[in-house]
Amino acid sequence: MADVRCASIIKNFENPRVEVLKSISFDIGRGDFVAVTGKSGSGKSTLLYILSGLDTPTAGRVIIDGKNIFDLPEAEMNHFRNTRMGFVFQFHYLLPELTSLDNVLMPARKLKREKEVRERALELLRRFDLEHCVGKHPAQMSGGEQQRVAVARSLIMGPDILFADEPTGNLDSVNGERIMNMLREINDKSGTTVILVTHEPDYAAIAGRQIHLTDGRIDRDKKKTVKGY
Amino acid sequence: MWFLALKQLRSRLSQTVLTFIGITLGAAAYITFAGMMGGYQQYMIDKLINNDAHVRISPRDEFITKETFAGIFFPESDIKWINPPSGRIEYTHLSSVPTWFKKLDRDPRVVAYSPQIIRDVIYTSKKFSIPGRFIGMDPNRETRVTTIARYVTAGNFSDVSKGISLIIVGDELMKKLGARVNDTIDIVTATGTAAPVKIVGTIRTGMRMIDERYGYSSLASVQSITGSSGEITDIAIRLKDVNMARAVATELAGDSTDRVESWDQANESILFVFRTQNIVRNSTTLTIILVVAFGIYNVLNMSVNHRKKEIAILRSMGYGQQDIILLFLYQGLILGFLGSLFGMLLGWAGCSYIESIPIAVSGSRRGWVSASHMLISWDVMIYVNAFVLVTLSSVVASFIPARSAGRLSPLEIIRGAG
Ligand SMILES: Nc1ncnc2c1ncn2[C@@H]1O[C@H](COP(=O)(O)OP(=O)(O)O)[C@@H](O)[C@H]1O
Ligand SMILES: [Mg+2]
Repeated sequence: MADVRCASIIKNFENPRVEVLKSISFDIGRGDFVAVTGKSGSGKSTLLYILSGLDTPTAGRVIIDGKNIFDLPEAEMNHFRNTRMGFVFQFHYLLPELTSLDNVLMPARKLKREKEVRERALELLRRFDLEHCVGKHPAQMSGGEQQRVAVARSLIMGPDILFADEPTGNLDSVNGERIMNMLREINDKSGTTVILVTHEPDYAAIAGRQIHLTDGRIDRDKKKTVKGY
Repeated sequence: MWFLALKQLRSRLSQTVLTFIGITLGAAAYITFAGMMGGYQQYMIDKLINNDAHVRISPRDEFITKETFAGIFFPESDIKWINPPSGRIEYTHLSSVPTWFKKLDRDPRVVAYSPQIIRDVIYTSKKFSIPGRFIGMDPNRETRVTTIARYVTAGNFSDVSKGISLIIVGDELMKKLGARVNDTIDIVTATGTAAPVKIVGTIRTGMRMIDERYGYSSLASVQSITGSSGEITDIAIRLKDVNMARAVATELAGDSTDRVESWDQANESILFVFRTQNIVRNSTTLTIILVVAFGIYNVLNMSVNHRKKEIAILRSMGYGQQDIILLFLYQGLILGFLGSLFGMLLGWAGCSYIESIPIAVSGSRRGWVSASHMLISWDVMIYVNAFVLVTLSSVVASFIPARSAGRLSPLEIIRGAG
């Protein structure tokens, strides 16, 4: 669980100059499930990368649990990313030379904790119907299975925030729905804050809150009064 | 990162194996090459050092030139030579032998010394005459200074002092004279007198200069045969530390009128050949290292380019630049380490094989050395050098792609693909 506050975030790219984000401010509470929506090119991914500290804004601050993440030294940021953030991208980015179990354990290797979380990794794989894939390499799995392994990997360290950038973008509707159900369950059961970028309205509707971007500005911020799916 | 480094090497097995073979061959080639050259040089140097003295005192040659007379008869500016003076002053024996003995007896760096008389003579038998050297010495003393006694192939080195006019000759010399052990041959001196000597043994050192030209006898025999009674022409000296030879020689030379030379000064021309060989060897080594390094660089560079996405995902998991650098550095290290390890084995095997190749020498007149098989150096330093050089250059070569992998911005990659 973590709360995220961002204040007047501006992001420009130079040569040619593009203003991608134009003063974005909002707060996300602990355990929230937020969907960031908008047309392609509206700046959703850019915003997500800035919120997760992968990218730096031209101006503005991102405060997670009271700390401005851009003030953190490199090593601390890496540790933060390792232990408290999870990422799921549109493309799964599994390491092709590792089995799915080893892929899931990879974040734990950073702290040499792969032995102690092994049980947990197996349990995650079981929970996502991946028992038959434990010893398989990515090339031997379907796209949906690979993306489920990627979600399991993002959860292995028990993150407080999960960032997902169009995780269903490359999947058919059956597999897409499966991933959405997993995200919902994670948010529900573990109270993990989930920030999901998607341009599919059906999936966005699952979230408790929808932030809609148009040309780098928030033009709609809709909260469900009662959490319900 | 070891875990992933190993997995990545395994996943591109054919490339890994090819690189590994390259490194192995590079290290093996270095070892074989260095072993062959080193073996020959060591053998030669060993002979040069031990067959002869570490330091030798001998009479000086002096040449007469116009400088010799400068300022002696007239002030120099007044003289114009029509026919400049020339000539040679030869000192046929050492100036003051007892002084040398006293000096050497006191010197703690000197293990032993052996006074000698060396004369150029002509060995003659019924039909043949062969020019050579006639060396008089005390076998007991000589044995403590040089290893010559070890090469005696017939008779005993000390036999020469069992009587007068007994000689041990190089076996090639004896062959050329058409003589056998116990035969009597004649020695013709520079003044033309001939004297009979009896062959009591032979030596074979492998150095042609000795085997074809030298004869050893007692001091008294040589002195009386060559009509130079009481004269000493050389003092051969053995030192505790052969590396001190040059320094000791320079110091002993001091203000003496005799020539004092260390073994390396006396053999300058051979050592120069060795130095040239070493330059060739070093440039070959450099080439091998460059090839090894370039191979590793190439493979890792390709590997980094293939794994950009993976690098990005590792970074998003919280792995830092350091970790990414290590990931590729370890791969270079593993390749270099294993490659040089196997290269050492292969090089060792190659050297063993080459050493076992017999060379047909009998009758061959080429070279300074005759040996029955190829000479190989088993110096541990060759192996240590190969290992360190190859492993180190592998690590250095992998550092460049590793660092560029570390510098990749994970965001650019993710953005590029998404
Ligand atoms: N590195 C970059 N340099 C210049 N423009 C960029 C760069 N990355 C993204 N953009 C631009 O920023 C805008 C927003 O991109 P992005 O955040 O990926 O949009 P979305 O994820 O909503 O489709 C796009 O117009 C894109 O062209
Ligand atoms: Mg996007």
